[in-house]
Amino acid sequence: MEIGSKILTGAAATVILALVGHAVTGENFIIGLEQKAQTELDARGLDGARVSFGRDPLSRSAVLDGEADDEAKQDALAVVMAIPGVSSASWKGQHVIAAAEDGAPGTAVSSPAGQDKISKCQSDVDKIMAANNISFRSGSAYVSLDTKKVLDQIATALQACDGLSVAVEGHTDDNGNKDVNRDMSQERANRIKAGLVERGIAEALISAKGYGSTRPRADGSGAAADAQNRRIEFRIGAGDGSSQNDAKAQQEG
Amino acid sequence: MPLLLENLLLLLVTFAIGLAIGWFIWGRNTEEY
Repeated sequence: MEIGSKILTGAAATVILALVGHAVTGENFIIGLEQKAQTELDARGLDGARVSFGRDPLSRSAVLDGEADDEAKQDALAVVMAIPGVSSASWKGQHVIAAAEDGAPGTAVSSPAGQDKISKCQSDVDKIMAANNISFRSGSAYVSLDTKKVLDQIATALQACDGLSVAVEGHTDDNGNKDVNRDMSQERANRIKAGLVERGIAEALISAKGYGSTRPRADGSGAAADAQNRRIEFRIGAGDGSSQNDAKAQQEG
Repeated sequence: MPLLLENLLLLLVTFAIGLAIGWFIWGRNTEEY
């Protein structure tokens, strides 16, 4: 047999194998995925949401349907997306996560009401940050259990800020190499951002930036000052992610 | 993307990789055995 026809025969056999495998296992795989997703949603108390997958053609994209508020919808999307094998998830009739749609970015900033909203959100977050502490061990970006509890509170506060953006800023103390510090602060900010996304805040609204040791909160280099400088800050801004309209920046001058 | 297309692509890519490995091991030698 010619080499070309051998390859063609192999390719044809592969295609047949794919078709047979698909016909035999495809539907059960999707049904299994659907059951897993529904079980997971019910277990999280999101039983208002019904999840289904495409049957004609079979697809790993989940479509959610049912009555739920925006917060629950985002939670449901996150839960379904986290299941291994699910390629994407959306609510029936919606292409974008609801929280990213409302809040009318652009108009929010220009109106005094929008500024008030930003200031109120910032002060809510600041209160939580004043009462609690997001801290990291020196040289580590590991998010501790205590930090996760603070993130729960921050996420709840941010959910009330529908449509406003939040900049997560990571800072380190001034020990060690500047480049390493900047990378570390970026990693810390990324982890915190990921934590907020896990808690249902729209990823498009969160930015994460590491400043290393360039913006210390406390002067000096003692252990107390270092601990204060290893920190995360949240800045609430308009929904378009611009920082020049940032309420906190204006408060601070 | 439909599941069928995913399955087809996956197996065809596997086939292509197999082909490449086979060629690397046996195909490069042009001498007659």
